[in-house]
Amino acid sequence: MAARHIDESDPVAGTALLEVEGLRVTFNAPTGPVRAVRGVSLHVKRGEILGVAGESGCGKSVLFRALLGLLPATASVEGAVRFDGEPVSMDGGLQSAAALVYQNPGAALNPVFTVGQQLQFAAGTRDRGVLRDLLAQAGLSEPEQLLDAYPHEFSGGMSQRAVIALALAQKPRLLIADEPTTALDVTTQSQVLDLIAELRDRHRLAVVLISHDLAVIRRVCNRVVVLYAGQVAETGATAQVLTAPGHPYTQALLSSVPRPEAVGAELDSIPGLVPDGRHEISGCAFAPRCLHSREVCHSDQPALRPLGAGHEAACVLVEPQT
Amino acid sequence: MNPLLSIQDLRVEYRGHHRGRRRLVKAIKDLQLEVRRAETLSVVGESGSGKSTLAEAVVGLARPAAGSIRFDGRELVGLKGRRRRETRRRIQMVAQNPLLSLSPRRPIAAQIGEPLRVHTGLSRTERKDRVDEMLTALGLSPAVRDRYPHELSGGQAQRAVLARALVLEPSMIIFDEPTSALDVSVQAGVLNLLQRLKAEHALTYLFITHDLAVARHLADRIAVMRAGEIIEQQPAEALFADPRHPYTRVLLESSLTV
Repeated sequence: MAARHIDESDPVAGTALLEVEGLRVTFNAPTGPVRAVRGVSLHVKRGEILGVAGESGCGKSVLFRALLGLLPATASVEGAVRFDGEPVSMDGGLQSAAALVYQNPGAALNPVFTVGQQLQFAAGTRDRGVLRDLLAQAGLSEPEQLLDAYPHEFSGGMSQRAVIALALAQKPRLLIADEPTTALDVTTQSQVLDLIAELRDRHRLAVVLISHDLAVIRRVCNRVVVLYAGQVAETGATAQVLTAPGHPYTQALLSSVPRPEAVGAELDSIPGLVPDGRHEISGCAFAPRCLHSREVCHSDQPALRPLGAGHEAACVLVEPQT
Repeated sequence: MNPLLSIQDLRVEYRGHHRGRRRLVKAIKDLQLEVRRAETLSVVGESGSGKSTLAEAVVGLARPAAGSIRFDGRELVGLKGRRRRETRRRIQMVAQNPLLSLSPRRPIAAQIGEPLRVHTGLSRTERKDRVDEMLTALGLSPAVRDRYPHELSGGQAQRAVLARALVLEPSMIIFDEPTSALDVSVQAGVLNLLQRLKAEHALTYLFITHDLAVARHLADRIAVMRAGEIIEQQPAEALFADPRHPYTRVLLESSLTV
């Protein structure tokens, strides 16, 4: 098994670069409001990778697209965001400091321009030395030739590295990677994750890694936030959350993964669906699918309760540790 | 007992071009593979290895340049007309994206019943009963009958595709990444369902995936494909315990675990 790139020393220490408080995103659809993010608070520190996990429809991508001002005009965003201690505006105030790495590198690159031209637009310079250096930083060998190549000449892994180079061209302090390895093969996947970890260490970048794949999160993330129905279900150091999950949702996600210890055995699937945001939710959003739910779960919305240093879960069944 | 599916010296080629020149892409190169009755054989490999082309060749969507594909003793390559239809109905396929496999313009029940209309002489009411039976067997509520694919969740839509594949009671189902577009929580339910259906109907599965954990979970044997060739095949547990080919070792080492 390859090495894991996690600084185990102290996941709680360090100051926050990005702080988000009570973020709400509501889409005003013709059929009524759709609540995609329902009050999320989180922070990302310099030199750490924060994993954001959850099923599709939990608000993972919408949350960060809102911060980057990439949502359509039908979306209304509320809450408070601070970057490096300073308040920033809700409609894309992060754009100058953060860069986004998309899931599908084939769609993120423009097929009619060379990779060099696209880097030139992003970096605002024609200096081939600078552009070459960006490709080299993204781990591409022979960058001189690649500057004149078109995206279709790149393999999937190379394209994703080129997209990362484009992100680096903007000299970001925060990198937001939305499912960066989902479209890649397993052998390339670990290389791209290693690259992201290396960039974090070399530039003390703060990174947000959005992924539905807990194995990806386990591999490189220092801390993780598990979202459910647009709210934080659980957060903490990756090792804590994935080995001793406090929230029944995190537990259920983990036990639905096929494991070598139980080959062929019945897997635990989570019955039902993520609520779709069109309806108000009273009580715990996960209660209708939860195997442990009680009466109180359907009426009272649980607050995050501490489980250990930096480890919190929003479930009434959690015994708070202080 | 003779194998249900026996592939010999299979070659599939595509005409392509590279940097302005024409060239022949050899997607499958002289491939040998046998799938035994009632087993699950998983084919694993990365994109471009030719695993989907293999599936397409077996179900008749890609035309082999050479070689033989025998199903239950009958040669499929070059088979035509009524005999082709008779044999084809016994091999069904389930692809990765259910929304691309279903027509967006027809309700689910009509699509699940379509193979019955094409291949059997069942009356309208008999077909309706059979479709209802399938929906129940796959854990879909009767309310799904009249819905359109976009109104279903990913898991429900993949169950509908599976219902359409099963409605003719095939002997073999070929899966091409059937759970790759689904969340793990939903994938778990679909994998459980596949295990149950296989046991209940003595089905034979050819299961194509890039996900080694899924292959290990379901398969009796695993074949590793690279660049159009099968480079190693072994019983599933043996492959994980003692991978022989260096490429298999690379694959196993790069796969991440929770």
